[in-house]
Amino acid sequence: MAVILFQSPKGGTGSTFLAAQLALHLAGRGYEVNALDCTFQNALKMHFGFMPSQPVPELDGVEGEALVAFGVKLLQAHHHFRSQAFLREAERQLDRLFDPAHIWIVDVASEDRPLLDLLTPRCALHICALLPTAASLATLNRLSETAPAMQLDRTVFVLNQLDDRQKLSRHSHSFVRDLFGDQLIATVRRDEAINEALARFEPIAKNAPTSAALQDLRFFASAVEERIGLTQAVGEANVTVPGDV
Amino acid sequence: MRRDARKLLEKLNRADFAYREFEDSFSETELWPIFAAVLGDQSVVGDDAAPQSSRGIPPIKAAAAPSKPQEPASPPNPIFGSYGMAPVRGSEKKPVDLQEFFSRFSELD
Repeated sequence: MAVILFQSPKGGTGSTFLAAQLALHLAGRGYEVNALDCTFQNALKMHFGFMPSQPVPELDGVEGEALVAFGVKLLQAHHHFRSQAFLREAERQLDRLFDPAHIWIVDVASEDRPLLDLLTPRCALHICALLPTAASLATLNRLSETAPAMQLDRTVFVLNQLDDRQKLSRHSHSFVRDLFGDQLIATVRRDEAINEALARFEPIAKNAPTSAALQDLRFFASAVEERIGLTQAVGEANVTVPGDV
Repeated sequence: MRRDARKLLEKLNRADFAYREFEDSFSETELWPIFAAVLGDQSVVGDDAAPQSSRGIPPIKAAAAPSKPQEPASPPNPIFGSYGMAPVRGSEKKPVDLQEFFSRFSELD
């Protein structure tokens, strides 16, 4: 079982969007994928075509019927993870929270350090979305209190909303690439088609099949597969990867 | 997508345009203070953090790096010695000299 964690110390960098795109990609490849929204915004569902008012079942499975779209099962757990008692219990029995027959895509809010600290040691990968902006780069020092960002072996970066027409964007790309080496696993070009697809509650591939960002997203998803060793297991439901809970 | 763009793509039998690179001339290149701030931050680069003042980096406008300038300086030896290689899959990150780093930005695309 693989837990893939999405969290950026800077909000608004596209973590939720990237989480949804990876979940869609992996489900399309035949994996059993659960997407867990741990944010107050609860916006992950919108990337699967659901309205903001759509209730999402809780992780504990107590309330509501399963919510599945494009092969991805959607769950939320913001309420649970706000409880210190639940966090303590989760730390002891994390494997009971995450069904090992699935790949778990977990979207963690930027300010939710306790949950990040709980899940990072157990995740297969922590994906941190960055923007080519000073505000985003300035938060690189907030990734961990125990190790420098460059030494976080389970943390990788995606530079989102890249725009080569803009000088700072180009330079930021070079800077991040040279600073982090292969910790930078992908870049995604800025493309308004993404925003428009979300506004229509439609997949990007349907709304803008020629989107440049769509190609970048495919590369990103493939890079994640390769990074955690999923590429050889296409179509198999049970997947074992390094970092299993 | 605009109709003219769609027609052009159809004519070229392509799903996407080739990406154009926008080049910077040497005179346009800037040493962004935010990059220096990141490189000087131990929380990002660890013990190889490069205090700006000790690395001969030219003064950068008014915006000082918000990191920890008074902390003990990291060793004066080149901190990022073999900087300059494009990332190769599986390659290790290697230390880079900060001055080299900024020199490199003078040659950016």
